[in-house]
Amino acid sequence: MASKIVNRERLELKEKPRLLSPPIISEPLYQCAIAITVFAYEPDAKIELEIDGAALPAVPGGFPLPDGVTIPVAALVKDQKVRARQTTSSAQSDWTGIVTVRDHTEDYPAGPPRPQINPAPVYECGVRTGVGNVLTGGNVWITADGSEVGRVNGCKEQQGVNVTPTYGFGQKVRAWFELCKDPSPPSIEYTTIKPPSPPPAPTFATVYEGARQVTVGNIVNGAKVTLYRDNILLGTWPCWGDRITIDVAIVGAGQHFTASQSMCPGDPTSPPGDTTVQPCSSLPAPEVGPVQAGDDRITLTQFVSDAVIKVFINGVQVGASGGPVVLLTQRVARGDTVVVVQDLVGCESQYALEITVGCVDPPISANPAWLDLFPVGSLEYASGGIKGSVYYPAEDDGNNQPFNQRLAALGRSPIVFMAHGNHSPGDPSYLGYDYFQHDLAKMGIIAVSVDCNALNGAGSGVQNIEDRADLIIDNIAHFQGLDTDPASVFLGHIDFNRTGLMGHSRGGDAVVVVPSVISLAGVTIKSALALAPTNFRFWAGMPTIRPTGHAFMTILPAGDGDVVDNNGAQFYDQAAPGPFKSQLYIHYTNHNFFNRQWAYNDSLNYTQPPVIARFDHERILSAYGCALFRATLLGHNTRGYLAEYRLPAGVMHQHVYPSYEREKVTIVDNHEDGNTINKNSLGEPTSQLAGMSADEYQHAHTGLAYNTSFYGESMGMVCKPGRPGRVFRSALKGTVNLSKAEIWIRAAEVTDGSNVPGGATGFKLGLEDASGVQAWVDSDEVGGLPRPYDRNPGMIKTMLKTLRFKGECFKQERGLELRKIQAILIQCDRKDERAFAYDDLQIVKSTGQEG
Amino acid sequence: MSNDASYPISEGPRPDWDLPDVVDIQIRKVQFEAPQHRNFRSALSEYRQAVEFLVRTSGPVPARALSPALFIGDVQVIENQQIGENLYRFLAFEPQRLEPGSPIGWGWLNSPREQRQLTNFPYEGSPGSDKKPASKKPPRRK
Repeated sequence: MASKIVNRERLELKEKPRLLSPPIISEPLYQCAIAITVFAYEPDAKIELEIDGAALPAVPGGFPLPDGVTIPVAALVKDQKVRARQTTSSAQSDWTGIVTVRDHTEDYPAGPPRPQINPAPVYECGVRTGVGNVLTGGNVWITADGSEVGRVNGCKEQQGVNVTPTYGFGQKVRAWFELCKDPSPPSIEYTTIKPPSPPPAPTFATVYEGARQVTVGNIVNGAKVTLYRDNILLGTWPCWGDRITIDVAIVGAGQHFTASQSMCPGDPTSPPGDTTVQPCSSLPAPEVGPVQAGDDRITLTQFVSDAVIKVFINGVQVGASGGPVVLLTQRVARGDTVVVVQDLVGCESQYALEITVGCVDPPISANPAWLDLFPVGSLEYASGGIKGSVYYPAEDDGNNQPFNQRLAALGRSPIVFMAHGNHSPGDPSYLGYDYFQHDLAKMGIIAVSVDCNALNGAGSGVQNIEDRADLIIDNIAHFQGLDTDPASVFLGHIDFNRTGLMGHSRGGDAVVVVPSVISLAGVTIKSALALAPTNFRFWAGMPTIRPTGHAFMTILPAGDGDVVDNNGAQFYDQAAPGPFKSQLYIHYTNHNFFNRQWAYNDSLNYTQPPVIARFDHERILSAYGCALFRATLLGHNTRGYLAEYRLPAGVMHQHVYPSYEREKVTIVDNHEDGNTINKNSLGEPTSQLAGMSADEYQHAHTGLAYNTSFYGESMGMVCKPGRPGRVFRSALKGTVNLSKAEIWIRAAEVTDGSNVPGGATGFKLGLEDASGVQAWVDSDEVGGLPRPYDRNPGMIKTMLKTLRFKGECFKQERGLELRKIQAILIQCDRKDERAFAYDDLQIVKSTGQEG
Repeated sequence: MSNDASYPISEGPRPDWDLPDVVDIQIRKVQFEAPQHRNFRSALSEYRQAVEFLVRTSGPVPARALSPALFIGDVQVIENQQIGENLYRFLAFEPQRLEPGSPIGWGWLNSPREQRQLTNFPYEGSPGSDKKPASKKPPRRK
């Protein structure tokens, strides 16, 4: 989406005072919950709930931030239908959609997820603790040294719990949760430590004239926050830490707020922090998250907590409510102009955010690595040369803990085997993925990291890769033995028919080999992740293994200073979607930083941009790796992160350029048919118009490539440089209904391998109906064509990315019959005379598995 | 509060992947026996013969993902095992691709010509028994 800040007055927005968006019910709702949380309503609105058609008395909502209003209800019963609406002095919203009450064991068969003390740590003298990762409406409590010190029945998603007596030093603190008398595992245990003394001075979010809330930040976990306005005491509040939003009477410009915080009696109080209320004229426009065609809501990322947010499409008001989400009365379409403003009491912002809606701009939506259900046990294992570490869902955190019994009662758990690559055998490389193992274990996947050091420094080549594959299989067999060993933690707990593999570097090469050779009875490889893999078979002149029969994913660090050819691209090109395949080409990452034991920054071997921090490498591997293994081993709906329908929160996804392909699509042209550029994979004719000059080339580092910048192992198409407006037309078989389909195409700007031209480029994708009417969508409206990664000359790559064009985005063209499309068009319309590479032109109908 | 001005902390040192010098190469044709894996048949099993290059180096080869390689002309030989201190056994499975008289280069796999060290040991065919090329002083590294 394109956005800019504009002067509101010039827009002459026509407001609808009686328009009020429905609020949002915090979902899901579970049986036995004794409270329902509603959010995203106007400040001071009254909130009504209706349960199975019976209306409850309206309650004052107060302010929608920080966490909405939690309304006590009689314990919910499965299949009850719940909806809500809001009413202000001037308007009443429609009811929300109906939310049906579920049994929590449908989503959490092994019991509720374990609560998280958030934020941690916990300090001596703390008076309040935040608890997250709980189910709304359940009961949460805190213990210190085993004694309950605080409780809230009917909790929110993130619940503050006041603590009495305050924490002592060195106490063991845990949070607990239960719903329907079904207890979760306890939180991680924290030992209270001394708080900073004195605590730091609090900070303030900017306060604007007309506001009725003040947000104070930089708060120590569990501190008491004292707030003054113009030197008059407003009170003291307990805070779980970080920030606290405090309701105040309406503020005027120039008023002065000061705040301080304190922990233990007798210890010094913090220095004061202060702020002066800014005039209404300073109130900025709000900021929003991505908006794309088809959205029915606007998600705000920056706004004043007690503001009313108003949304307009093409000048017509379609939403009004409080943040952080405003539901709209109509869906936005490609090309719409959306305007968002925020108002306080007696203060209308002079500025507006104006957005031009693009076709594809995926939302940032949670993080697949955040699922946190079980405590995590770990242990080292060794049997001769078969050794490594394993993390697993356990009864409690720590070494050699028993396997989680509730999970075990439901059946066997999937398992992932990881294998590191070649590195100094003096370093324990197998310990380098502990963070990823931990993330998988807490969601119910046993995660093994194989110690391959016996093969490190010992040689190179196909045999070394096969030795690693052999060792991985030995370790799988070892765990099959543990699965039948009465003395083992894993007795009867492992489901080898849900086996995943992850290998790094030469280990990545090996996990490509394993599925092609393994013959252990009872083992089914469901997925393999090759992280910055080598491809020694290719280098030895042997055919690249074609990953088949399982989901394949590769991560290619663009700044790899070791496997500089990003050989994983060859595996991706050769892989058959089973049921999908995924490639992530990641700018500003190197080879080593995914392994915590590999200290060297290999990117420094070449002149290239600095890479992102080590922990950001780790977050990328965890987020996308968990998406892969959750989808393939747990059946979770996380494929959307790999296909870029969603972006993981807390991850530098802006550097991730995915390619993705799945089964059951219509391949229009993958250029693998040997039928020349003049026919596509459907056997239908292509044509080159208006000066287009395109041909098929190997997208590989061979003499048959267009130039030396290609590093995959595929046939593809290159449109040579030429004048703007040149068109490539690919006919379909008869006519095709694309009204509920997407067009996927892998595309890249072709580099010469040594230079990155200034400025981005792009192209247009078009559809032509049976009457010859054409409609076009620009690549910039679906996320844009990535720039080549500007590393050392000779190593700059043409690396294709999958772009998704929604069929509905072409509807703007008057007269186009989307149900009768006869050809797909590519138009090179820029004036920069660059070449483009394309591959895998497909028609994809939604199955709900990605979107 | 005082206001600090500092310098960025390096995320990690640059790896030292300089290859040691080649001090000796012995070449011979050998019968090849593919590795006997415990769980599957090696893809190298189709090979019965190989040209063996016993390469003695001035120090250990650094451990990294890529392999060191011998370059017989432009044909690279990468299959290798360490068989002793600073002693590596390289195997070429397609002797017909190795052109007698070619100089033997030494470098990391796929490295361009300008980045390879030229050893003083030309490839002069692969006799059926041990053959040691005329010993010369190894070239100084750049």
